[in-house]
Amino acid sequence: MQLLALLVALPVIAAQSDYAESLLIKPLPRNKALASFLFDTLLSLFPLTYTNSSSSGDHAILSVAKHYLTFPKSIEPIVASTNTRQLHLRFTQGWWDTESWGRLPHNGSHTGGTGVELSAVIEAGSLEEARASWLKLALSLSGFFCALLNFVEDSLTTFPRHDVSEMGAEFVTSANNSLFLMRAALPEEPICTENLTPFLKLLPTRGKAGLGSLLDGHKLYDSLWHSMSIDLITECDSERCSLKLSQNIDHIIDITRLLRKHRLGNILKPLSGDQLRCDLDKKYDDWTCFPLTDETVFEWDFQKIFGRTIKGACFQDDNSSSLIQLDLNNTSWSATVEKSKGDSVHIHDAGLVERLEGTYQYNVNLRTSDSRVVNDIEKPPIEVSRSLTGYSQDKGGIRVNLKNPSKEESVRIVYFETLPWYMRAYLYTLKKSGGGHIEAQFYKPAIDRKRPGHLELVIEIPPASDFTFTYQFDKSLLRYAEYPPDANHGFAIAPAIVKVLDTQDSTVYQMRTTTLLLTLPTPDFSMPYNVIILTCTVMALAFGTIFNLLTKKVVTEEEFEAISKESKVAQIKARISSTILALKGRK
Amino acid sequence: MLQSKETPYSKVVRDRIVLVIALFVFCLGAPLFLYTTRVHRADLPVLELDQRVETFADSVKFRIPVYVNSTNEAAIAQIQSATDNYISTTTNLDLLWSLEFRPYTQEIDSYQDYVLSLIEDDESSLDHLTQSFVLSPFSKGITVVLPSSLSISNVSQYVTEVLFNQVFGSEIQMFSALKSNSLSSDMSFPYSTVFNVVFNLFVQDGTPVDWAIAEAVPLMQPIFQALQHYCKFKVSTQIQYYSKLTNEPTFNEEQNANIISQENLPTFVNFGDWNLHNHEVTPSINFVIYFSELNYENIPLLVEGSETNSFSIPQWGGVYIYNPALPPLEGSRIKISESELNKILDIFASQLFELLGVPSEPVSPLMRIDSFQRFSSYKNLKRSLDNLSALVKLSNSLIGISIPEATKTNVVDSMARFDEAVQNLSVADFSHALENSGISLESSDKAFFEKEMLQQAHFPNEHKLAIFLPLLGPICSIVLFGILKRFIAWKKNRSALSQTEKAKKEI
Repeated sequence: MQLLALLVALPVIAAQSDYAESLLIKPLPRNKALASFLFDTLLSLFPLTYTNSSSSGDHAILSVAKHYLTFPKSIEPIVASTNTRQLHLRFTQGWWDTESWGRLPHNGSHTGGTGVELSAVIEAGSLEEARASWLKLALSLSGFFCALLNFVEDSLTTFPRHDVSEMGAEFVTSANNSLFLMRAALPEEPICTENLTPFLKLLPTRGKAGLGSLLDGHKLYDSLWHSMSIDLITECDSERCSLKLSQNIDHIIDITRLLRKHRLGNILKPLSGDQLRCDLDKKYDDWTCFPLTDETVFEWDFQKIFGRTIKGACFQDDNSSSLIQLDLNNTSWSATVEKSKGDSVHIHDAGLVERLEGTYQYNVNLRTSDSRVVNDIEKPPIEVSRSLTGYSQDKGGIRVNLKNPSKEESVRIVYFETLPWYMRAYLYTLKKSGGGHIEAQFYKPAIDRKRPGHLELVIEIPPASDFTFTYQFDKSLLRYAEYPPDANHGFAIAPAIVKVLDTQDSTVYQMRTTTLLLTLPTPDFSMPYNVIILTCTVMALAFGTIFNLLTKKVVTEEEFEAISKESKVAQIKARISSTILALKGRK
Repeated sequence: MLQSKETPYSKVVRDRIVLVIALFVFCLGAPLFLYTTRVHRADLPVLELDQRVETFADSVKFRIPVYVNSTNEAAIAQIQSATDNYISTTTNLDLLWSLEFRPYTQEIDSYQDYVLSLIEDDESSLDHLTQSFVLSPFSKGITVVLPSSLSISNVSQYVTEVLFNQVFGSEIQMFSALKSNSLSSDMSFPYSTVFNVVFNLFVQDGTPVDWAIAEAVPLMQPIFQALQHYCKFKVSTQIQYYSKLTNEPTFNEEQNANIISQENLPTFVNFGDWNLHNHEVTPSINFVIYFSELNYENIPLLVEGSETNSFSIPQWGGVYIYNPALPPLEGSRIKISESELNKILDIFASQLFELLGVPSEPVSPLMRIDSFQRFSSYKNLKRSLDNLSALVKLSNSLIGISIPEATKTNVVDSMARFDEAVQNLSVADFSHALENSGISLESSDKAFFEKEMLQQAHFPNEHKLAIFLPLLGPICSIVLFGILKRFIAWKKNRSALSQTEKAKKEI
């Protein structure tokens, strides 16, 4: 491949790579807690280059060295070779309980829908070029993150309309190029430890020290909800560009379950009678026990919840920092930090923000006198539920209910939905009910196997009311080879994205609906083989009969008897019977 | 016996029906079946390839022009015959590799071509016959100083010695080893048009270390410049912390140092843990500077038996273990200075030559790169023919394997480049020969490792048979038995006939 690299920012000597990491722990009602990790790496002074795969000039290979410092070098070539200016990758799994946990962390900006979500801003001269780069990017990332991103293709890719305004300034290397925002979601993709390992490798500490050393696949994925995100952003001012990588992991810990696992191991065993928590106000004896809710007085620490302690600060350095923030309700919670090195242990009360230093081992211990008392949970500005309607094999419908929980303010949202091409939506069936109205509507119908259906609605909902819309779709028949393994399970339909806008049309909060499970008419997959074998058998049968009819001699019964008398079998028979007779006669 | 009422004509009809069906099955059914279930096999240019394999020894020839600057016209012919004689008697490179001496003219540039200057030294007396030579450290000039009294045969003998021991010695060794397929260890990377050169600083713990790499890297530029006809280089650098060693080094009290033993060198680089992957398309040459945390306790980490405290890893890169000259001050940040890095980069530069396959002799980089170009093109040509022959062998031995058109295109492309490279060699254009041979090798690799072909490699014919057995089994057996029955009946009939005839004759 021949590369043409255009150098834009000439002073290329990179200066400082900065790194910061932080962990937020926030107890939630019913003995849950949110752990939110944030890792930010910055590479300032980085040349913005444009790689043109079709150009034939090979003289201008970038002769200037690229200095990455501690910035992860592995991902940059992928991004550079596809001219990606922004990359957003989300791995999410689980169900977010809005009622008890409130808003999504970071107002949903780091959270994807169930499965894997990929979106990128790509610089390209034309749409075809952008598409080619996008597919290449997905393929490379698929190997990088051990995820099935190689299934990203044109039939899954959308060009979101509304987000274009948030792409930032036009960081293009030449006036002929423009930026393309592309997005694809794979809702069926499972998330597991093999996705975490490449995530950790992107950290300058590689999970060997600092907050990254707390992340253990077994504990992280043993949570009610978890989300992992990677955002790589190019930022430019008038003179130079920098690369910003922010990595984020949020997960909801079920403290009761993890403590029980820590106590009893992974196998569930029934508790003995004296360990049961019974409601003593009700009837209680050896045989009767009305169970109480979970314990409210207990203590836990990082060792029990994460299975590890923190191995010191990320670096022994002033440019980088490791912070732990504790969002506790002071009336019922208290925390201590245990700092140890070898045998010496130092314990002190934790402040709101704890800064890690040196190579000490850190363990944070949290105690509660009443775990039901936690800091206020903020209500999200919108509540959405989406469901499938209908029951037949050939058609169905979608019903979306949007609710504005606020009593005072109306809310303006963008509803974004991608429908796979095998769901043929009919927009004329769109029916609205309830308060609120659709301000703007954008719909791009699907093309079979080439383009997904793409629906964007701008909706305004007045205070304390809800808005419902429904529409109908037809189910297509797929080709034999297009069905995934376990086709009878159904097809996951990617979550819809709901973004709440403020008066300046910028996003203040965003969330995803749950995935839908669509059943399509599924054939019997052994059918082709059955058909081949059955037809072959029938043909052979028919052929054999006709062949014999045509080629065998037709004889009368007398003829047959005469022949059979002379046949070898008849002769043997006669010989046997004669010997038997002879034997009998000897007696 | 009861006589059948069948007319003889209907018997003939039955026989004919069997014959027609059998003919139909074998002449139309079988070819149709084979045609509809066959795999696509592109027509590989086997004959052309065989021809190239056969004529490889005749077509691939290295004629290196050497321009002789001498007042003595007869010397050229004499030197020519002496060198030819030397090659045919002491090496196995007869026909493949030879020197071609030409008279020197003013236009010849010693930076482009080999120039052999014979200088007659009149001033030295007859008593001490001083013969000496000077190899230019920069250009491709060779100067031989001879006493004028020396006879022509002695001159040619001496020049041959100089040429084959000093200038082309290592090249000839490499050529002979490759020709007899006894190349012992292959340090060098396979040919590529672009290489990534990555300078890594691996620090054992999390204490920050600075290095002046941004200032030091430009000093490598002349080396990259010198190699620019061979390939391009993309340079990048990174720092990685928390890089633990796989094996703990052993502490040597005598030297007050930690020693990495020779047997631990292959496992020194922790490929699994250190972030060495990069997702570049082109191959990467890695250079590692390792910074041990014991540097803070002033205990150096040494490589057993290495003066430069470095070693290289075949087809991967080089490693240098950094020990500061002075123990670091308490609380101050360590910085590897530019002058220290320059020394380290010198080591890396020589490792780079080694990893690319450039010989270590003679001094002049132009001469080294020149002989490296010739050697690499020979290697590439040989390998690409080997690849293509292997491909043909494979396609002949696996009948079920499909051969896509892309393979054929690559084979054709590879052979075209091969021819071009041979053409370049015949006019002694070695740098283009290298380029073409490299592309030829690349295409032959692509042809051999064609994805579609590999996927089909293990699709067995048995599967095809298994699916169609319900059709093939009954039909074949019915037809076969039908024919067999006819045949037996016919034989019986004939012997019966002959017997009756015999009986008739006896009567």
